[in-house]
Amino acid sequence: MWYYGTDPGTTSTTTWQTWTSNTTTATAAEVYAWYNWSTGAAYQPAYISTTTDYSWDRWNPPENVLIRSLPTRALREAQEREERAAYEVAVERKMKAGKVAEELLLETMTPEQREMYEKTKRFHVISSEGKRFEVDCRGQRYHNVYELDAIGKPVVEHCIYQQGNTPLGDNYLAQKLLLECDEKRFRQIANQTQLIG
Amino acid sequence: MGTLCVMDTSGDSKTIWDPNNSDEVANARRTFDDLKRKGYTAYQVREDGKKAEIMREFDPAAGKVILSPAMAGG
Repeated sequence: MWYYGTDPGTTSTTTWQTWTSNTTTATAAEVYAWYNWSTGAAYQPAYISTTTDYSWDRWNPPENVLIRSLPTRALREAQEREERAAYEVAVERKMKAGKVAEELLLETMTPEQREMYEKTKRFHVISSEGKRFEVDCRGQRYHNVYELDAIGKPVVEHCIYQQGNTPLGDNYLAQKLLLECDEKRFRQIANQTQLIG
Repeated sequence: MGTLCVMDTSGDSKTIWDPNNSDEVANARRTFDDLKRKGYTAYQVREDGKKAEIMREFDPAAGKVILSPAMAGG
């Protein structure tokens, strides 16, 4: 309706009545003009579901919302830019933390462990009780430590992780150190799953 | 020189001390004791991945020490 009239500046139900009553060029001067327009098959907008006089009232608010939302949209876009920038900073910080943690992990590895880690993102640990474990460093925080049998086959999965939202490298190093220094304590904390087959 | 590496969200935070500097040793000991009380486990680590050891008390001559937050079962 904006195309034919000026902004009525109101969202009340009388807008359409006032417009149709005062205009000299309209062919219909009654409140039923809107009713006829909204129920006419050729012109009826698809999104208007009502056929009462209140069609105008229902149609009008979205237009006003659109007009009033322009400053809000600019504000929202500014907020989105800020959130995106904060997200990028957080991602960069996390990546940097991951590198620092991985450096510490590599510093505490034997040359053999380092070589295996660099090739496969896994490494073996000989525990304080003399058993061999494999730490899988391909992204899991837990369900990533396997006890190996004499031929190197995984027989038990140990689920244990480091608390404190630390980078994965720290988590793997903590698993390694606890296994090397106190396997009994490691077993007390971890949940175990026997692997079949 | 000794280094205390405290695992945290940034990777790790380091506290360095000179064993001959009593203030630096006291500072490192205070950090060590505070974190132990919070449930951290301290490991004395050696070069080239040689076997680490759990530390119960702070030792100024320990060299490199890693403090790890508590572990939990998944």
